[in-house]
Amino acid sequence: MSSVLGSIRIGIGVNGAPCVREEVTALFVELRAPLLRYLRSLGLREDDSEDVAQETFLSLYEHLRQGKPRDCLRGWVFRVGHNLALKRLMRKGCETAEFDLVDGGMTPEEQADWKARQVRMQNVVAALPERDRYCLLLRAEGLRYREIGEALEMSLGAVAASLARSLNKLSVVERG
Amino acid sequence: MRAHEHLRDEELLLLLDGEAGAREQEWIAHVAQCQACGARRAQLEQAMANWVASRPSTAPPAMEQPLANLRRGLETRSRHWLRYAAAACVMAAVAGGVLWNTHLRAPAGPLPDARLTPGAARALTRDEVCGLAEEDGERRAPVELARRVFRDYRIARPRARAYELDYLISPALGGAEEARNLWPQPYAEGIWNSRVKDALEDDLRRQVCSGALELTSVQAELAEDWIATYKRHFRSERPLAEHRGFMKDQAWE
Ligand SMILES: [Zn+2]
Ligand SMILES: [Zn+2]
Repeated sequence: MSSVLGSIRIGIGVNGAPCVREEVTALFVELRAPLLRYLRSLGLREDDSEDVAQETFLSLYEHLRQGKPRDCLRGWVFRVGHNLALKRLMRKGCETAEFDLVDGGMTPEEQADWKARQVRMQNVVAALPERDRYCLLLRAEGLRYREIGEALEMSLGAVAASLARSLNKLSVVERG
Repeated sequence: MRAHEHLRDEELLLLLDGEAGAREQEWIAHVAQCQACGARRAQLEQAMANWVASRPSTAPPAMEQPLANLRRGLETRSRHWLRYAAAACVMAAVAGGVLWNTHLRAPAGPLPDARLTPGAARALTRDEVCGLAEEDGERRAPVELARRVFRDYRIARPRARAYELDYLISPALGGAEEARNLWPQPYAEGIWNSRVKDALEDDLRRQVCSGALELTSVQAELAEDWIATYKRHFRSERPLAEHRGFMKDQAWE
C-alpha cells in the first residue's frame, strides 16, 4: 500500500519535535515491560536489558525523525532490541534467566506438578533451533505474526510454520 | 485447488492470527464444515494459550527512573536535530510564534467545527481521483494556510504541543487544499484520532476505485461526520484494534 495517499498531517511544535518525542515515550511506556522480558529470556542481564531498551527507543526517535517507515513500529522495536541484545551477548556472554516458577493459590502437590512441567517446557524451548525459539518468545510477549516477521525479518508463512513446529514439540510435554 | 484437502497447522495458525489473506473465506468455509480441521484449530489455539500462560508474569519493573532517563536522552537528541535539521523546524517555530499569542479556546476535537470546516472537494471525476499519482495524494498544506486554520480555531499554545492539520475530505478522495477543508486535530489523542481516520480513508478509497462506492457520496459522508461514517462502514461502535495503531502519514514538525 502506498504510504502517502490519504490525508496529510502536520504536527506543529516549537521545541524541536515534541510530537515525535511524545510518540516515542508513549511507545516506551507500552512496550518496555514486554521488551525487557524478551531481552531477559534471550539471556541478557537485568541492567543490560534496561540499557538496551533505552538504546532501542533512542534509535526509534532517530528512525521517526528521519521519516522512515512507521507501519510496524512494534515489530521494529523488537528487531532493534533483539539485534542490540545479541551484540551484547557476544561481548559479555549470557546469563541463564531465572524465573520465579512459583504461582500462588496452589496446593504443594499442584505446585510441584506445575513446577516440573515448567522445567520440561523450558527444556524443550531451550533445545529449539534459535529462530524457532525467538518466534515463540516473541509470541509470548503478545506480538502478532506480522510483528514477529518484522522483528526477525521472516515472512508470515515462515513465522507460522516455525510456531507450528514449536507448538507440536511443546504439546508432547503437555501430555507427558 | 486444495479446497478438499485439510489445512496444514501453519495455515490454521495464520487463520487464528487473522493473516490468511486472500484465502481467508475459503479456509473459514473449510474449517466450518470439516470436523478434523475444526478440532485441530481448537488444539492449536489451546496449545498457544498454554504456552503464553506458562510464561512468568513478573511485575513490570519500576518505570519512573527509566522514563526520566529516556526523556533526557530524547531532549539531547532533539537539540542536535534542532541545530542541524531542516527548514521544517524553522517553519514550525514561525507558526508556533504566531499561535502563541492567540486567544485561548477549547482545542479542536476529533470532529471539526462545521462552521469553520464544512469540507470542500475539487471537481474531479472518480477516474481522475483513482488515477492520482502518489504525489498528488500527498498534499502538505502551505504554512500560510496552516497558520490561518490555527488562527481561525483560536488555538493558543501555552506549552509546546503537537497538532495535526488534517483534511476533512482527504486529497486522495478529491478533497481540496482550502481552509474550509482543514482542521487541527490533537495528535493521537482520544480514540477517534487521525490514524483511525486514515484507515477509514484508505478503505473508502479502495472501494470508490473498485466501483463499490460513489465518490460524491463518500465525500459528503466524510464532510458530514467522519466518525459516524466509520461506525457505519466498519459496523463498529469503536475503532477496530488494527486501526488504533494505524500509522501512515508522517508527522511534520
Ligand atoms: Zn489523516
Ligand atoms: Zn479439513
